[in-house]
Amino acid sequence: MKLRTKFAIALVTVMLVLSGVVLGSVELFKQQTVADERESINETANLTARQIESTVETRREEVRLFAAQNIDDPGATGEYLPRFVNQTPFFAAQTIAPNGTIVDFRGGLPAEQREAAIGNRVDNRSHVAAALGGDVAVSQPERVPGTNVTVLRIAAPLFEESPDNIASASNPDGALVGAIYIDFSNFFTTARTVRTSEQSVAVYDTVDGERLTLLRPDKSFERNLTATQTLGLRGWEWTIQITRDRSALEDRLDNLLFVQGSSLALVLGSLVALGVWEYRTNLRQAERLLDGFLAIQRGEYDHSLSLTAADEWERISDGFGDLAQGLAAREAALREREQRLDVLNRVLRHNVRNEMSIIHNYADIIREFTDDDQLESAAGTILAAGGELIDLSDKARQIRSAFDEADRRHGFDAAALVADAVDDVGGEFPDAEIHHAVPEGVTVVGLPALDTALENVLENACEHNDADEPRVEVDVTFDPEASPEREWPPTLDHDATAPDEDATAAGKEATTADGGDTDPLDPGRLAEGETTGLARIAVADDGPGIPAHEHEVLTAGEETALEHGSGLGLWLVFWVVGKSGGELGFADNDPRGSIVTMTLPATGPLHGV
Amino acid sequence: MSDEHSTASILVVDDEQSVADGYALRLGSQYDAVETVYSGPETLDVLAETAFDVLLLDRRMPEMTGDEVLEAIRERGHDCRVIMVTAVNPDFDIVDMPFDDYLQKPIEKENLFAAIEQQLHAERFDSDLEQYFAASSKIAVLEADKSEAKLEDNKKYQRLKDETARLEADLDDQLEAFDDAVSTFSSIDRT
Repeated sequence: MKLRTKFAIALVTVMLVLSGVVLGSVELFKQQTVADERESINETANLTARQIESTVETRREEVRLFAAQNIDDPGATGEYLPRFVNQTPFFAAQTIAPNGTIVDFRGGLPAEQREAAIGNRVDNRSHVAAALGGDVAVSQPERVPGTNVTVLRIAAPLFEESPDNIASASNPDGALVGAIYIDFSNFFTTARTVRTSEQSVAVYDTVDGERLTLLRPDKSFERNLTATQTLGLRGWEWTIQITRDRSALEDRLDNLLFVQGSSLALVLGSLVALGVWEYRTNLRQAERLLDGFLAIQRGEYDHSLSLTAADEWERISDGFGDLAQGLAAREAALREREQRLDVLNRVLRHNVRNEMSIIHNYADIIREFTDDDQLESAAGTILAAGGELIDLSDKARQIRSAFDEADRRHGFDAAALVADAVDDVGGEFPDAEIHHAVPEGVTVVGLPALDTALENVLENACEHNDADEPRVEVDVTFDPEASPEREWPPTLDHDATAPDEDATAAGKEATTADGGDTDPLDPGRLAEGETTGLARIAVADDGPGIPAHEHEVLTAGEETALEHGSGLGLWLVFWVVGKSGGELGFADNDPRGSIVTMTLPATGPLHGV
Repeated sequence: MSDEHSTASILVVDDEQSVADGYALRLGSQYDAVETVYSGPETLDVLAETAFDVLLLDRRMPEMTGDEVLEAIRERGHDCRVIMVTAVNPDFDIVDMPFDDYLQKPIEKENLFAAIEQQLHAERFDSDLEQYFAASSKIAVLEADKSEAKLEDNKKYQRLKDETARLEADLDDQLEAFDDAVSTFSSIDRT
């Protein structure tokens, strides 16, 4: 994976984790805060309920205490009831006879209404019944018809004498019923502290399935948080509802989110800045360096690499520059050498041929026109030596052109390759007997000059053979187990082909390969039942054998004045086989002669041949 | 060696006097009219005066190359057979050159005479055979010099091969003596 990709992934990961942690903690805090708020408002609701309960209790106590003042006659309450109405927040009061009829009725109602009520039986009302049973009881709130006003009635037992036993306590001499408006001053003064600009209180009761508002909420909020608490008063319930403005809380949370978000953005921004900085100082420099290497590989030694992000990079940049310069110098030297070699080669060959044609012509003329046998023989020797020289010149030419296309491998059908070479060389040496055994279906892979190389090996075997009936055997085997070198070409030849007279426009224009742009060893080119492996072409002769020094100079890599091969043919073979990714071997034949083996990359049948 | 064309006239062109003289000396034994010149312009001058049957033309010459001389000869419409005689290795550019045959120095005596005879023969045939021989000589020279892979890749060479095959098919139908002519022609070693 590219450094840049890795770095980007690391950076993005850090950013994601960081964002996750920050946003997660904000969310957690938010939930916590809301939960706290909810708890607080529940607490408030609870407290408020207790306070209201205590107020209701106070009202009960007022009625109970008043009822507990002994009166002589429950029917003669002329003084009694007005006193009650005056001294307590109750606006009206009734006395009830033990039989449940209203005996007296006083307070803030029209007289005729009060008088009409006297004598009515009211013991069917639960609070009255409870009071006549000796309990202090509270009625259900009741709305005054046609108004928003609600009224609560509290009933307490009346005794003519202080009850001296439990039995008489449950058997009162009547009941006192006080009616009181359920309003702010009578019941909810304690709720005043709860009412703030951000909080409101409401109290409801549900009578016969209908919700009765006892304390109306003093304000409403767009977004709110609500808590309810029920207040149980012996058989009935009031619901206290606390509503709190949520917008303040949310504003706070939004603020928090904004602050945290900004911090996060700042941190992420810093990370991005760090990434950019790292990219500029290191990654981009590394990429430029890689580009530089690629340029060098392409042979662009003047590629200017300027790395300035850090001292280290500057030093690398300088080192790279020196390296490129060194390579450029070497390349130039190499080119010059190659050019020299090329000119030498061409001029030498041309002139050898030209001058040889003079020597040849005149020697031939001498041979033809002389009657002197010795002279004729001398002329023949000149001609033969000239022929050798021409052959040598041709060999040099072959070597030159063999590596014109050293960057391309070609697949040769082994059978055809060997047969063609045998035909050619057999024509040259009619006395030689060349046998060959080549299996079908083997494709040998090598430089286009592989055929020339094989011809050279065969020529060698025939030419130097001193046997009466020279015998040469060519044998090809294929080993699917061996694996050829996959990496090819072994060196990066960006411009291995030196300028040559062949490299004219005409020659270049037409070098479109027959699909030969892919290596013949490419697995995609294999037919079914085929695999890659190594082919071994062995050429055995019964001649005098190749003197050791002839092939030792090949592996030594250089020749000395004293120790050098006698010709160029073996060099050609050695180079072509080596450049093809193969190996050249020499062995002695039995009983005499030598075996030259060319081991080359090949494709062939899976089972081998 | 047949001497039926001993009356033929031959001009040898080479900037190296000894080369030209050598060939002339050689050919003098066979043909009555053999002359030598040592430069391109001189060749054109001589050809303007005298007609020759066959011209042996060196490729590499100062002042005016053999290739240029060949062009000039064809432009001026001189009716003579041109055999390039050269130490220069042939390249695919020879495909477009209007010569009749191509021999590489040094040339064996037999090949020299055979090539000249062939041209003298061809002179009497129609232009298809001339074309066929010229194309075949190019193929022979290139095949001797270039690797098979290179030849396979070269469009000019492939075009030449196709054209030769076509000419061969036509000529085979027309000429009884075609096979003989071809076998003589292809036995010449041009390199």
